Amino acid sequence: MLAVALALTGCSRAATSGTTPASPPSVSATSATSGTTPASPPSVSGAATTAQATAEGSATDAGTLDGISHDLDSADSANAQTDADQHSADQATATSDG
Amino acid sequence: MKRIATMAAVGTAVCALSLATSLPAFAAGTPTVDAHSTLAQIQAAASTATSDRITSLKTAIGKLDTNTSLASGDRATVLARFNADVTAMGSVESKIAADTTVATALSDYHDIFTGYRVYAVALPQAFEAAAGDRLTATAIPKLRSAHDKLAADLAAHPTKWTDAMKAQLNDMASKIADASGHANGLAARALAVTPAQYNANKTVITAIRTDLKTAVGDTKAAAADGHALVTALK
Repeated sequence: MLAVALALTGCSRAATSGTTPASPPSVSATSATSGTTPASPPSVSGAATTAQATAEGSATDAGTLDGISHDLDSADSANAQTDADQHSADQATATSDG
Repeated sequence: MKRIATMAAVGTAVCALSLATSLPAFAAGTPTVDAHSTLAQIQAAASTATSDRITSLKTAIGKLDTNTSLASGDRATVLARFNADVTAMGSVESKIAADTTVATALSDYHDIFTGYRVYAVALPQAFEAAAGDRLTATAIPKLRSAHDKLAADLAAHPTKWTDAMKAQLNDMASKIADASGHANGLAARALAVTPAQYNANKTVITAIRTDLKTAVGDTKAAAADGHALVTALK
């Protein structure tokens, strides 16, 4: 029972702080009754599920966004150079007497 | 009515003046010659026309040496063409300088324009090819990469994505596909245009230019979609 209380307290902190826990807190009947630590975290249930869904919903990490932004910046740069190429082509055509 | 006509005439004159003043000096300074011109006048006009083209081609060669847009094969094609045109302009100028009749000189003079189309074909097609290569080699692949990462984020975090964001991602995909459709093969099409084709149909370049502008517009729109989605996800 003490194990369950401690585990739920940990979940509550994760949920209210809005941060993603380094590893999902484990809450299960198995751990409560046996008192052993599972080798791999079992699935979270109840209030803990809500906390995890919230964390996932806001979990577009900075690295991913940076990667996307980098791609977009490269595309912007390419487009700017394409504009310059178009301008050079336009200049030649505009001055054309053949 | 007369006043309107007068204003229109003034407006046209102003526009014509604006256009004329926006053109480089060589265009305005190229002497016009015809069958009534003297041999000396034709030779002088030919000297101006060929030296203008040689200068423009050499400037373009300098630009393309540092232009990272062009694929290596296209760069080789363009530089070979430019260098050949530089040599040809020198040869034509020398030939006209040695011509002894107005008829021959005039025929050779016209060849400066119709035989090479330096300004109408050679120079624009090189930069159109560079733009096309830049789109297909860099802009579109980078946009696809950004789109795929955004799509992966949508799959991983669906609750984070509103319907408007999903629609914007679809628009991004649509714009990328459209850009790709217009840009694929554009460089090859541009470089395939010959002076003879242009002489027969002056719109041959126009269609390529239209596709290029559409592709550029699409890639810019797709990039704008991507930037907006990144902002929404932050």
